[in-house]
Amino acid sequence: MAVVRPFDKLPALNSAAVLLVGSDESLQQKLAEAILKEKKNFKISIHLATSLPLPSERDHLRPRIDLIAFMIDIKSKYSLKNVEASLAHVDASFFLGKVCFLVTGVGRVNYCSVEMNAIWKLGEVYCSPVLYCELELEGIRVATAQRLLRMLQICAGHIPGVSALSFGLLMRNSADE
Amino acid sequence: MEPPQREPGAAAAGDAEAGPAAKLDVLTLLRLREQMKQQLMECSATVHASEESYPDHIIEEKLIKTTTEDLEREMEEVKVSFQNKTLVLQRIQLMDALRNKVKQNDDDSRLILETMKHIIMLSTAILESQQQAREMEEKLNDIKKKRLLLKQAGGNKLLQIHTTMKKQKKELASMEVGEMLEKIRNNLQKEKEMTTLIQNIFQNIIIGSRVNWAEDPSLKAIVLQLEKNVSFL
Amino acid sequence: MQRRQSSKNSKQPLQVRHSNQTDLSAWRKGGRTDPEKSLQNRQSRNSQVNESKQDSLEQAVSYFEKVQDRVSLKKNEVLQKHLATVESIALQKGLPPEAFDVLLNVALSGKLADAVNTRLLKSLIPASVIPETSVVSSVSWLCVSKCSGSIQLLFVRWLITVFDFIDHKEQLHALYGFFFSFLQDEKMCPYVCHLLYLLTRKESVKPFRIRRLLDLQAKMGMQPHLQALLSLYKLFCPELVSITLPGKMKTYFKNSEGPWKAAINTIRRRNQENSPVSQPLFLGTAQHQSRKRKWNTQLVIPASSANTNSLAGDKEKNHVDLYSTSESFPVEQLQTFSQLLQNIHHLEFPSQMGSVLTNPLLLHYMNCIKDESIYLRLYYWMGQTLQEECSWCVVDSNQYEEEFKDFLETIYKTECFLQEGFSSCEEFLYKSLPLWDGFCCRSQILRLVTWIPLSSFSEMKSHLYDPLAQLFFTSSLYFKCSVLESLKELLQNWLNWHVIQLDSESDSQGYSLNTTLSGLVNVVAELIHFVGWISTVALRLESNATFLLYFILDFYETVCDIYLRYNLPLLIMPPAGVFYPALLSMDSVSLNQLCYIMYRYRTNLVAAKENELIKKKILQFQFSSQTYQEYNQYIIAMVGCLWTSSAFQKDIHPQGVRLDDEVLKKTRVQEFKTSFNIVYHPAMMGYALLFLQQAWPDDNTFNFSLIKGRKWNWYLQYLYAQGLKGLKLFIESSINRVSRASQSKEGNVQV
Repeated sequence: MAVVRPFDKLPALNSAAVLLVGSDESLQQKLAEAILKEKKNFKISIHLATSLPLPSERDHLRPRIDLIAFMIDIKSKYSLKNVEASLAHVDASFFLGKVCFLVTGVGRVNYCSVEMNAIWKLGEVYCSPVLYCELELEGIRVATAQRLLRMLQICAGHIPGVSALSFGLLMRNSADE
Repeated sequence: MEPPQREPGAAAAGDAEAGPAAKLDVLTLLRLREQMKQQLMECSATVHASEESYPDHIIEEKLIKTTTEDLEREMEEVKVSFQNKTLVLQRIQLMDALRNKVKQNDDDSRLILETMKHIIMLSTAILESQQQAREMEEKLNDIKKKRLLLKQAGGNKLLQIHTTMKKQKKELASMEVGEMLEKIRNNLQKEKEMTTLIQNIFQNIIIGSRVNWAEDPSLKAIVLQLEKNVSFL
Repeated sequence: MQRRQSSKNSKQPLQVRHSNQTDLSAWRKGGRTDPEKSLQNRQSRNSQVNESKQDSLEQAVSYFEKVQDRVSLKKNEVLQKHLATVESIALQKGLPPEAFDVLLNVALSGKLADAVNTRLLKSLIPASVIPETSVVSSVSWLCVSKCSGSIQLLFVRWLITVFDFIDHKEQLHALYGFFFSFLQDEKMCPYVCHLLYLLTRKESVKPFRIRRLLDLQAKMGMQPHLQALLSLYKLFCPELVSITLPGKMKTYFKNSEGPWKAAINTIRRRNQENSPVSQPLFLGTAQHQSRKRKWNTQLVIPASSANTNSLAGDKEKNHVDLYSTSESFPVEQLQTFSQLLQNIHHLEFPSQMGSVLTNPLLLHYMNCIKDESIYLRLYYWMGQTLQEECSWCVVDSNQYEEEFKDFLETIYKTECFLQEGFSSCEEFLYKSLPLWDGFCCRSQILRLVTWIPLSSFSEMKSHLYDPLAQLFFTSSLYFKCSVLESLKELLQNWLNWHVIQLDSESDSQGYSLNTTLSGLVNVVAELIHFVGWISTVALRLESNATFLLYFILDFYETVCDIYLRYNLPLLIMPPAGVFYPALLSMDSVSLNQLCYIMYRYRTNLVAAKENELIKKKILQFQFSSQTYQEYNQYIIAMVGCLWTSSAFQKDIHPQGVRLDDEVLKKTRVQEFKTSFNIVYHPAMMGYALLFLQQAWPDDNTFNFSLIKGRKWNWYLQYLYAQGLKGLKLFIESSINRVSRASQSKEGNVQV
């Protein structure tokens, strides 16, 4: 199947699944490890993909995806293109709070080849928050992993009273202009 | 594209506490119940939303925007209201259960009592520290204000000094100096300006002559003097 | 190469002139009298590895010293070899001070082809310092202009990049006129402007130079680099530059760092990693400023920074020159506070404004001076430094981050000293907060936030609140608390500033720029509403964490007292999303603090009402009736909970706890009505238990309903004795004590 949908499967008990999409596999791996290292009281599964769509033959094995994080490397135009191409394979309802953009390489703004404006626009067009970080530094990687986990918990419906939709709204209200 | 072995199995195995085999105490069960409620709510909201029929006519975007904003505000209010009321009900039940438990006078109740005592002890300590912090903050704030006042006073003083100096200078200038002295001063001033100009011209001559002045020590010495202010030469 | 340099140096009578430049002249003497020895020192320090490299470098340098005209690079293998040596050593460890003289001379003399010269210039990476004399002689070569325009340009760019590495700058200042004459070259002009910008001191500003610059500007149009220089001239001598210049600009100078900066940074870092104490290619003095990065360098007043001319008149010290009162006191001689006081009328700031930050005496001076130009100069410097040097972090460099942290810390301390925020720092925050990860330099950034100047523009939302909120919602509990704490301090700083403005002058003058009282009220109200909003969300996200509640209530402790303590006609109640979680809290400290806050609100509101009756003047800033209404609603809820057990029926707040009996009965708790009075309240249960134990030691049934009538009053006294002072203040002020005997009667609570 070509499109991932947020609500076509039932949630598994006390677990959450995040899908990381990005062209830099080693960085992805590092981030995934950082997420796994965090202490948490629910089961987490992390799916890594360099691009979308996901192969449909494995679909039955896949849990419900609660959050998709698109990783963009500020130093690589390709990473942005890749993400833009992948976005077409995401069901529209995902953008109701279950997608975020992770911009890495911010430590090297001076060397960036991707325009910040383009990224900012991406976040606006797709109504999704943009997180800035530098995944190559361990401290920031850990901090970013924690932030992703918080969002994941909300997206998976683990926080009573806070749905992905309302959280997305919150983030968007504070991203106006 | 999706390397599944990189993810779920290994990851989940590490989380012993979260696995289904983990000890399911009441708290966890309660937490899970809240989780499932939330998930159910979200799922049903989605179903509900997809059943909604869309109006045929095109609504103006502006209208949608303002309506959305109104609804958002309303929803936020309802949410807070709901949470407050839920909190009341939960706390009522919780405290009632706790009181009943304490009255049973068994090991558990004694433990609760001990914990309560401990909490009160800590609270008293916090209250004390809080009071101290409050007082210190007040002092700090007073100091900040004083500094700002001093800053202002200092600024005014310096302004005074400068105006006094200007005044003195003026007075000095307007003082009945001998014509002679005045002339001398003017001459001196003129000479100074001339020298500065000559210095500059000399610099330009050197540059224009394309000479490697650094190679000649005495020329270099002169070059390095050419920015000096005349009054002190 | 040693020989040449020493012989050259010995011919120069000028160098030892400045007696006040102790450390540097010591180095110079050392370097001059016994260069061999220092070279040996250096070699023995990092013996084995470097020796062969050093040898080949020395060979290469002496080759370049003797090289004949027009040796072709392609045909000459020796040249190729030596050039490669210089390049590789430069990139690896940087070049020692002695090498610069020779290499600069050969590169600028035009002996060799441009390709060689370019490569030589590009490899001029200092390991430690660059001797001033070598720069002086290269400027001399520039005057001869045997080398091509592109080489000249490259040299000037190099000079800008390594400016801070030049050991000494007095002679460079003496060449000001020479550099100035290079302005006429159109290509060089931007870079020469930048260089002059670095060199300019008050005495460099001359009428004929201003005229020249204006001519250039007329010819070339409004160029940012020319404007920069002109504005600096104007800062120094406003009476001489009469044209108006545009205000703040983002960047005056193009990045001129060229190929050197990255290499310099790498070498610097490598050197520090290898040996924390000694630096491999460093001569003489153990610690030298140029070892550090730019910001740290500039925090030290350079020995030669200000006008040394006044020193020349040492012998005339007692003689007061009537006509040169403009003579200024050199800041590097400023050592004591009394010196400051004696010379306060003729102090001149050093050319490197950054050094002010670490000099308490100059800060005292800065604190008093109302001269806009001083702030502008600091603004330029800080803006440039922050913009140039900051990217959040550079991968693989902890050292860098530490240094940057130190720098931010220094700025913060200065701001505390001056009780004032810097606008360049504000701009830096606005620029970088949207890109922040919330981790790097966290405490420094959040502290700097507390000094964001109060401005009436509503830029605050998009520049500060929005990016902060994005981080706030996704980050940890601890981060949330830190942000709240910072915002509380920000509020306090603004309010303090306002109080002083009020005290000082009668209204009109006090508010500078476009800040009016109503504007101020709006900005402060905006901040308070923002905190109210994020607090509500945070309590929801963190399921009413007690720790978080402390920080939120702390913020409101400032808010509730704004009218009385800061004399600002503004009172804003906490939102229901904050008030009720605090009221229903299970923690006695939170409840006590809420009581205290409500007591202060009451005191403020009562005072406001009284003042309103007395003088009608301030009616235009009357509190909105909404505040009174909200206060009354909250008080009813609070008294209903804590005292009369009637909150479920009487609470009239739309988001409050008014609940139908039917719903309440579903809890299957029988005595639900009393659930939140001071005996049954979740935060009070422990106290009630202990009180029961003390009052009826033999009774183990814990019958809470025994606390009533006279016992109720005893219980109250008991609570007060436990340190619940906020509760005491609240009950004594907001609950009518006449009816205390019959606790069921509602007190007179409304304002």
